[in-house]
Amino acid sequence: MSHPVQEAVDLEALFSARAPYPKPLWLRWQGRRYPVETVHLVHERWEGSTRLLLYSISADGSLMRLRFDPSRARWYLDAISDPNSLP
Amino acid sequence: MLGGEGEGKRAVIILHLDMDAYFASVEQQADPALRGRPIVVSGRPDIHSVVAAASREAKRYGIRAGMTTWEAHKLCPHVTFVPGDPDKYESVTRRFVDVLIEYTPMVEVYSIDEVFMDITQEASRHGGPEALAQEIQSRLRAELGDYITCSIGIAPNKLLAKLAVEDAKPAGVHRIWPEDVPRVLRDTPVQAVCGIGPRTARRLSHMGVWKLADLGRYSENYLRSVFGVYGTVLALWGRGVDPTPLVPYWREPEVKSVGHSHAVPRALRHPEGARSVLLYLCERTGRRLRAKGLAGRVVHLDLRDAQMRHRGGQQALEVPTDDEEIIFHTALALAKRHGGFPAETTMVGVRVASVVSRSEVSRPLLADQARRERLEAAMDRIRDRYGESALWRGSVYACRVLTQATGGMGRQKDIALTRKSVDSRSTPRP
Repeated sequence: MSHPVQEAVDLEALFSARAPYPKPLWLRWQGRRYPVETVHLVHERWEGSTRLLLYSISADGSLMRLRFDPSRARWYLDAISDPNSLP
Repeated sequence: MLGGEGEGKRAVIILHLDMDAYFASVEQQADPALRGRPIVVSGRPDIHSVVAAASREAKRYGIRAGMTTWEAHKLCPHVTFVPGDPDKYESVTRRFVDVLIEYTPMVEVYSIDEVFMDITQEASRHGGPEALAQEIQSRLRAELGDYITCSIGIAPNKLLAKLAVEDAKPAGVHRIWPEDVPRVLRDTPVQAVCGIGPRTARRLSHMGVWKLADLGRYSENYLRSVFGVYGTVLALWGRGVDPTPLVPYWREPEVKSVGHSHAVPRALRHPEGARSVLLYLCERTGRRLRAKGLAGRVVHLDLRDAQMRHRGGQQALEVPTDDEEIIFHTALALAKRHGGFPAETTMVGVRVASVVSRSEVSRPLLADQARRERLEAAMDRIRDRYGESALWRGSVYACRVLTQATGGMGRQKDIALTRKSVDSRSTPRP
């Protein structure tokens, strides 16, 4: 079951010159620090002239959907799913 | 001559890359909970929906793309339906095309999940065509993830490469050598060729043509007398020759028409709802024409009722237009002339053909038209900046459900153009 969150989060990411997208390393949400275990997929979505980066990641056994909005230089946690739950 | 090789020229090597169960694989890559399960990517459950893609696991139950979601559920009651996410698939396509153009600029984006590459010059530098194909597969796995795999066919032309890929699935590589061609032609049913639809296949079966090699029994002149100019293409296909050149992604495709069609959601299947859908589609058509700097002279309308009967027609305008109001009122008049909107309209389509460059069309003289042109330009600027959903006409607001459907993700070449190539030509974003 996926739970919508839509909150800005503190996040550390690596902006590598060789990688197409920044790589999130950990995030802090509700006072807890979650190390990013796997980045499953990154894709883009254009909202007008803004290119949003959307991440599917695993952290602490949960699937999380992250969004990076470069126009605001902010990371958002959009949704979190229970482990092994279907949409 | 199978693929344009000639004296002193290297034999052409075409590679056809086909992503395996593409949309479903992308969803499984994005969500580990979906892996190993039968899943189907489809439109929203509240609209008339078909299977856009079935995962490998779902295919084992007989589920195929194009089936209705109801049929899929009957075949596999525990199948998981995942709403399609066009942005996700388009974005992944751009990423894999970006990887492919590092190998050669001769990349043709045939559809959102199919690409042709001419590797005649490059193959030897990578240890041969098969080694290059395997290198590409590994590269794509590393870039996109283990669940997004592709199959690759190698042959002297596009027709044969597309046939070769069928023997490469899933995630394999298969090559058709020139000496294999007679056997392939003997074994390949005509309907396996992209371009020979069920109607043509039926007509060919009446002539005793079941396999591609059977076409060789008829002369080109005879096939032309039966099928018109298409007969020449059939005669070539019967010899394993493909006259279609590879069209690289950087070459502007010739636009013949611009249009949109959509299955109508249940909630809008009444004449007033269908009218709103028509206005919405005309808006999108006008916007795309303006973005491409085009105007069209002939408006086509297509409506489908609950019994799958089509009605509609076409109307030529005095002056080519990119004005959505003119397109809409012309389409509306066509609907009236053909008996109005069906009581239960299940599909609405509008298309503007006979397109010319906007610069060839005179500017509007009437103040009202000039005002509307300025208004549409302003609306385009707002949408370019803030997105398509930034502005809605009140009368089409109910159509916003259409923007989330998966429909129309077939042969969309525009969407698969790489960001780099689009930026370098300063072309407006599709």
